[in-house]
Amino acid sequence: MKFKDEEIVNLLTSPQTVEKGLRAMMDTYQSRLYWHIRRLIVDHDGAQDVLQDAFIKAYQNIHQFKNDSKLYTWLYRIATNEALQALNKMNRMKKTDEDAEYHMQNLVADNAGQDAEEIQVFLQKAIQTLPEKQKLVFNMRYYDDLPYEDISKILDMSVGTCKTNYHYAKDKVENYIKDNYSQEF
Amino acid sequence: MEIDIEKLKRKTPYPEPSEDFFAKMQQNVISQTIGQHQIVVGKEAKVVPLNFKWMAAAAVILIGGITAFFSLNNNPEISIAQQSPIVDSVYEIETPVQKPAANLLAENTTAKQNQRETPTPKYLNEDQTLVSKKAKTEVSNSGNISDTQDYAAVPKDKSDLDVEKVLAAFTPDQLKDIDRNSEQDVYLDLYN
Repeated sequence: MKFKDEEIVNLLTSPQTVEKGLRAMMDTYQSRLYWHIRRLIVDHDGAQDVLQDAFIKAYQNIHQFKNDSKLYTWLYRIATNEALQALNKMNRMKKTDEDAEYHMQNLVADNAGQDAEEIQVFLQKAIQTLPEKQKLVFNMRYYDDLPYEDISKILDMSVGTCKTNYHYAKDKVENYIKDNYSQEF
Repeated sequence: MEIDIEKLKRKTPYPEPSEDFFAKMQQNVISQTIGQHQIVVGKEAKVVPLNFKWMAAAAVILIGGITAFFSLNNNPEISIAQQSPIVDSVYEIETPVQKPAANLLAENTTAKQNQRETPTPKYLNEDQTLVSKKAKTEVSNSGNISDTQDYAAVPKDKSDLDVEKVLAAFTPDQLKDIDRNSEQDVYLDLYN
C-alpha cells in the first residue's frame, strides 16, 4: 500500500501512529532507495546497512523536514549522504593499494548476477569511472528518471549544472563502453 | 561501433534481494528506533552511581553522630538532671514550703499547750528519776524567737547503767585504744 508524502509525515509526527508512519515510509520508498544505494555501494550487505541507517536518520530528523519539499527528495538526500560516507569509510579501510576505481569495477563484476547482460555490467563499470557528482546525477537521471529540478534539490546544485553533469557523464560512459565492449567482443 | 545508452534497457546487473529482505530491514529499523523508545519507557529504576568522596563523607558523619549519641546518653549526671520527677497521678509530691516566722510562733505555742495537756505516762517505775522538762520559749517583742529550754536529766535505762559500769572499769588508756580502733560509720545513721 502506497501512502502520500503528507500522510506519511502526519503519521510520523504523531506519537500514537509513529510506527505506522515509519512502516508506511519504508513501504513506499525502500525499493527505490535500495537500488539507488546499491548502484553506489555495489555490495548488497553494504547497501542494506546504508539503507537502514538512512531510514533511522529520517525517523530521527523528521521534525526537520519541511512540508514545502517532497519527502522522497529529502529521503534521497539522506540516502545519498549516507552512501557517500560509507564509500569514504570503505576507501579508508581498504588494505590494498589498488585504485578505488579499479576496486569498484571488480566489485561490480563480483556482484553481477549470472543472468545479467554484459552490456549492463559494462555500463556499471563505466559509471564507476565517473567523478562523484557526475555519477550521482547520471544514476538518478538515467535509472530513476528523476526530473532535473528534483536532482538539483537533492544534490544542492543548480538545474543547469545537473544537466551539464549528466551530458558529460553520458559521453564518458558511452566512450568507455565503446572502447572496452568492442575489445572483448 | 556506436553505442547509445538511451536505447538500452535500464536494468542493473545485480540480482534482486531475497523476498524477506525488506521485512527484515524494516524490523531492524523499528527495533533501533521505536523499539528502543519502548525499552526506555519500561526500563528499571535509575541507579545513581555513588561517588567515593560522598560515601566517605557520609560514613564520617554517621560514625560521629553515633558516637555523640551514645556519649551523651552515657553521662549519668546529665541523664539524671534531665529526668523529670515521676509523679503518680493519684499521689502528689508535696514540696515543703517555708512558712513565715509568725506562723511558726503560732504553731510552737500550740505545740506547747498540747505538750502540757499530755498526761504523764503511768508506766514509769519508782526507781526511775523523773525529771520534768521545762521549756520556756520567750518571744521578744520584735518577733525573735529564743529557745531557753532547760533539759533535765532523763531517766536512764538499766542497760545504760550497765554500759556506764563497764566503761568505768576501763582505764583511760584502754578507752583511748577502743576509741582509736573504732571507725565511725557515716552511713550508720541512715541504716538506723
